Amino acid sequence: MVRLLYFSYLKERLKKAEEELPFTGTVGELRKLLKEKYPQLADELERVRFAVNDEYAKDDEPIKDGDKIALIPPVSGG
Amino acid sequence: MPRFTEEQIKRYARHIVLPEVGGRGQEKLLNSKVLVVGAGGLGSPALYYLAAAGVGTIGVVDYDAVDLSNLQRQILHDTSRVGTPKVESAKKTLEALNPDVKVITYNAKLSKDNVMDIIKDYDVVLDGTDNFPTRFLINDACYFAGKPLVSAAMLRFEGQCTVFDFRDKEKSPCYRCLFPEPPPPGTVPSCQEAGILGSVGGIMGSIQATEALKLLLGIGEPLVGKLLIMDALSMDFRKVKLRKDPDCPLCGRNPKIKELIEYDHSCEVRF
Repeated sequence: MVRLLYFSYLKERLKKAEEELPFTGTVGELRKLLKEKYPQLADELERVRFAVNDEYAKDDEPIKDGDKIALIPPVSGG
Repeated sequence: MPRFTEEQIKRYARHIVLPEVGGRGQEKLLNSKVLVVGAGGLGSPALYYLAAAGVGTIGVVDYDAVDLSNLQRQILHDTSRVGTPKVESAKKTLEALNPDVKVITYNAKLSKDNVMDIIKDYDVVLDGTDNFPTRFLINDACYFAGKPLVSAAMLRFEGQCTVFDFRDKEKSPCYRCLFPEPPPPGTVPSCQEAGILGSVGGIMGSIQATEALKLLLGIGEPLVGKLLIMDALSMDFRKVKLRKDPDCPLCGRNPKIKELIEYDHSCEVRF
């Protein structure tokens, strides 16, 4: 299982701050899986950044069982 | 020995007594120049603390006028200033707080034609703007000019802050390492649409001021290569490590962006 942490408007729109999913693969594969799971947020999920165990990770990087993944959308409010 | 007036010794006594600041640090602050872009929810507390700290020259960029709906969080301004330019209101408040501070106002929209000229004389730049096009413009301009940039943003109950220290371009990531391009207009909610708890600006703007003071004094570990994410509802502070992206369109190995770009400022649609 991996633990997903949602931030900002992702959290608002999914109405949850976190969830657990069975997953192993790459960041890009997780992004694709989440876009299928939440098609209403496909655009937002395309732009969101992933941090694996508090380290920013690109799409080709691996995710393993037990990882904690933060999904960070861009925000611009000032 | 640094030379202070008696009044200054009294005013900055709580700084001078800190070994990390001392008389020398305070003198450094008085000789420093900081530019704050946006005199709003983030800029208000940031500007307040920078002025109180005795940062000798403070530039303020904003082209808006004070609106009644700003006063729930933009604490530099007050009810009597509604309708007046924000930069003028900011100057009045800051100079009343500390006469040591020279406030330079830029009542203008930052653009690719004026940004390099505006930032060139400052030691540190703070981004407290409310839109992506300006955020990307400031990032690119600070990168080209080699200026440290303290960037923060917020929405609803959450805030983010990081420092891009472009004095060392080889090491520091940039905003585009995190988000290569601005999201299309209308896809990300603004504070106007989604709301913002006023005091969240107080937290994040104060963090920006603190990072700027650390950079000016050369103390501690600024948030370089780290993105701080704050959630006021749970009061969780999380730090995510950032990396310089070798494929970054601005600071990567084969940069595509070689000059300033101005993105579309069209209005963001409501959610």
